[in-house]
Amino acid sequence: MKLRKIKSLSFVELMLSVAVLSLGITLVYQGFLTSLGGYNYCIDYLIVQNWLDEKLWEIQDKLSHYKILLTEDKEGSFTIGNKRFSWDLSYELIEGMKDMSLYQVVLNISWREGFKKVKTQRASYIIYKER
Amino acid sequence: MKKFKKNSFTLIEILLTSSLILIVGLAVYSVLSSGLTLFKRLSKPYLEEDVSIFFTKISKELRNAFPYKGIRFLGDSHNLKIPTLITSSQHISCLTVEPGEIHYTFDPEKKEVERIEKDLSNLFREEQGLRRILLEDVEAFKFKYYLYDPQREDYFWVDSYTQEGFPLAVKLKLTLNYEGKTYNFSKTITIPISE
Repeated sequence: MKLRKIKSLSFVELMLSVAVLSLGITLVYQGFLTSLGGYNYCIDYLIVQNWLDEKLWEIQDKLSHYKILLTEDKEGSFTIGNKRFSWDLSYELIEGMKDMSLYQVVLNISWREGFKKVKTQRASYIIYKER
Repeated sequence: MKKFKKNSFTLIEILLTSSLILIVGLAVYSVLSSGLTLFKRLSKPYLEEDVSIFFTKISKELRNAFPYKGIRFLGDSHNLKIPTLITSSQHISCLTVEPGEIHYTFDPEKKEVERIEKDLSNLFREEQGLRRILLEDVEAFKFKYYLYDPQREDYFWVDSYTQEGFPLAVKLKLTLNYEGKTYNFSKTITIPISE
């Protein structure tokens, strides 16, 4: 009786296939994580932009109408969901006249996005005029 | 009798293959699970994006507000009427920018914020104008108006504006509800013509 040779995968071939499959899965997984990270960043960025607008309006109101900023207006932090955002503000008098002053305001905000620390900045000029 | 050689896996090969299959299986499960999470996140309505578009739209209209005979700036906590520039959509072939009135209104029963656009023709004929729902599932919506009192030399917020002219700024406070969670938004818009 003639022995028939069975055609099958060798152990090395099997291991190579598994390695290639694992590599593919890792890449797909990485893609998922990148998309999720990008989505979260977009949402956080929109939240931050709106917060920056509101904060700048508040600062503008205080400086342009009352010419004063309190200590709590210069730095702080807030939490949305489970994310913590830290901010700080610096301002300087660019030009001061008898009844008019020009200020430059720079507002920085930072937060953690996954393993990265993200920072964004908004600057504005504010005029104080005596009524 | 001829000795028959069996082609089969050894115990070590089977153990190694099982471990590899287990690792690959876990990886596949993890990828599927992440995919499902991503799908759920992306299926969720973009609340922040919708609100951001709404704020941009109303900001543009308030910043373009100007005094125009026959159209007054009027507002209470749920309604706001602005005389501003609108792009008339009466004739699609010929879009024109002209003065008109934009009316934002909040219906607490339907939980909707609606925008009603009326051009001069609509106002003259007392027609309904172009109606469009901008936000849905709104729990709370409130307008506030920022004024200056020259006698007291003070700035303050009020809930309604019925006098002539324009307030210094308008504040919008918005609460949306999605899947039992509450989302709060706020926006203050300066009206340049009032300064």
